[in-house]
Amino acid sequence: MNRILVVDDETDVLEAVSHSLGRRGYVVAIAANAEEGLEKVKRERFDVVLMDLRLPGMDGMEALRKIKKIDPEVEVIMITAYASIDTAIESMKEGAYEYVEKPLNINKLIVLIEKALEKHQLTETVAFYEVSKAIFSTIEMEGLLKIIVDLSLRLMRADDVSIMLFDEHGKLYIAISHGLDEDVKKTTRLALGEKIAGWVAENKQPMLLINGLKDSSLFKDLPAREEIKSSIVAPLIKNDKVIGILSLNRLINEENFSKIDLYKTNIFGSLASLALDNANLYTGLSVMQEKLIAANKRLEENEKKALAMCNELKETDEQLKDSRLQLSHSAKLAGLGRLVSDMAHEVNNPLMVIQGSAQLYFLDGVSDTEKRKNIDIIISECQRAKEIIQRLLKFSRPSKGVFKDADINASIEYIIGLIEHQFSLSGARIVRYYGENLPHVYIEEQQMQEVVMNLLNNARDAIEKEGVITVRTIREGTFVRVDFKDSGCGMDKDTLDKIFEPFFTTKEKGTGLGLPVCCGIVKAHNGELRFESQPGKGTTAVLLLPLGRKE
Amino acid sequence: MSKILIADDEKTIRDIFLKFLTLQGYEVSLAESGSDAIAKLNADSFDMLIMDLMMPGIKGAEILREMRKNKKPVAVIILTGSVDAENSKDLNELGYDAGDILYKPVDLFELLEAIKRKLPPKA
Ligand SMILES: Nc1ncnc2c1ncn2[C@@H]1O[C@H](COP(=O)(O)OP(=O)(O)OP(=O)(O)O)[C@@H](O)[C@H]1O
Ligand SMILES: [Mg+2]
Repeated sequence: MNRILVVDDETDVLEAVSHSLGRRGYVVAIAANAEEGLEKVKRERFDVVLMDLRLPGMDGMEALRKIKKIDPEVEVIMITAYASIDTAIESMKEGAYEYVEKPLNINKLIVLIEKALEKHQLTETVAFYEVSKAIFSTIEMEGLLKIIVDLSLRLMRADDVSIMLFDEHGKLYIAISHGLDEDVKKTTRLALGEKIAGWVAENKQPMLLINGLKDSSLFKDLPAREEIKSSIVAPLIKNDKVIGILSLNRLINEENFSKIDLYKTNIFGSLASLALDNANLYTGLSVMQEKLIAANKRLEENEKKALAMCNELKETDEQLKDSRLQLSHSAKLAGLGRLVSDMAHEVNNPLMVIQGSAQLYFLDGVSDTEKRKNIDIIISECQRAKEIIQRLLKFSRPSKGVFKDADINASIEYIIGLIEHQFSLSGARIVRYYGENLPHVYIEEQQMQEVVMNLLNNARDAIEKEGVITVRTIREGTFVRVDFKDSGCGMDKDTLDKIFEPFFTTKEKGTGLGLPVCCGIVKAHNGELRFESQPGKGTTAVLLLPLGRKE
Repeated sequence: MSKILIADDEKTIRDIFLKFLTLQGYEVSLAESGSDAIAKLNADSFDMLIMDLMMPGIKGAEILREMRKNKKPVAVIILTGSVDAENSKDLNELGYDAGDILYKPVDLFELLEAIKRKLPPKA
């Protein structure tokens, strides 16, 4: 039903117009001055306002501006005397729909009103169009909720509006509101079926409540907000699922919500639902996107870390290689130092002989025969010194790292040849039991000789005064087994457990690197090194070396 | 005439010392090992012992200890092919130091000097 407000200070005009409009089915309200008219527009909705330009107090022009501010959608037709036509034209710039001249021709006026109503309806349609445009203009939840509230306030002429959504526990909370107490907003949580919103959500049905809750059979017991004159509570439905509740209240506006308003709310609600769903999707999407970005970042970081770790590992590996080399080298040097002092001993004896023999040469009382003999001795002692030095140099040369088939007996014998004399000086006799027709072993000869040297040195060190070192070689399956057995002090279990630890030593001048290095070398040969020992009963080092390639 | 016992496990070295010191007018006896030296020290009396520190079997320091146990101490010159013998704990404990040690190869006349220092010529 179309509602028309007539504002005129001339009572006969008011009467005539309201009479003829009433007959044609319009609901007509009248106001004798601008102030009264404004008051009515504030409280009720009108489709068309007829406004006299010349009024006592506030004039029609001013009233027009105010009305448009209160309700931009209402169509205003200005009534004017011929004299003020200029002002009337002016008024159209301010948003008036048309103007009519006094004296009023009712028929003309009716046609004009019909036209205005048509436009008004169009405006409403356009308004919905605008609503949908506005609603879908944003996809971000918070902004969207604000738009929906603003539009409901305007479109539905509500005085307060709230939208409830479901929280993660399936309870309704107030996502946004206009005109609601902040505390209420924060604390309100409704289960499905609880209170009006809960009921609407459960039943998926909109509610129109007039005069608060007094007349409602369902909710008459609920405490009601007295100031509410009428309300619409509508479910927001997407795909048959309630995603929220839209509540509209009129407090100041005295015109109650109508069935048509309920219908409009439904249309508006479904638009809003769609938009909300989009926003939800978007939120989900953007959350997902954020997660993805974060995950990506983490991945990138991890990748970076992995890369850094890789590099570090490479470095460590290199350092390890370096330090292993160094270790091997220092162990070798330690062994070498030992060998050098042994060898110095060995070399100094021939030198002693050479010097002595030479000095005797110039002494009286030495016969020619003796002199000849001494020269021979000098020559042979020089050879002896040279041999010792060469062996020493050969042993001290860095290893070539070439693996080949080799006769382990010969390798061992070479080392024994180097040290035997010194060993005998310190009371260690070496006994060999070399296996006959022993197959070749696949070794890096110099490194393996280092192992042999270390094991023999340890055996000697274990012998306190006098003792025997027995070296035995024998084939054992796909290996050649070499035993270095000594009659030395032996080891208890605790010591035995630690001998492969770098720097473990029980010796005053030991480095504790001998066996760790041996172990490394033997491993690189795919061989095995183990110890059998008992305190006081001597030790046997068992070395297993893989057979040669050609065996 | 001063009596000197020479202990060294290498025959060529023993022979050189024997020839040289005999020419210098000493009465020289030889021992080819530590145990040999101890036996000879016990059996006879010497003015001086010249010995290699490193021989198979009984080591130099032990010979010196044995010698002290049984007889009045004799003058000693220690020969060695190694380095750093003057810092050996065993020798230091027995009261021998750098002044008692000669490093191989030894200049024969240096040896002679050392002998003369330790054995004032007999009247
Ligand atoms: N044959 C053995 N008899 C008794 N103990 C041994 C024997 N071999 C090794 N050990 C023990 O193992 C320890 C470690 O030996 P390793 O060869 O690694 O170092 P080291 O001999 O002490 O030092 P370096 O090799 O530099 O002389 C020795 O100190 C010793 O206690
Ligand atoms: Mg060792």
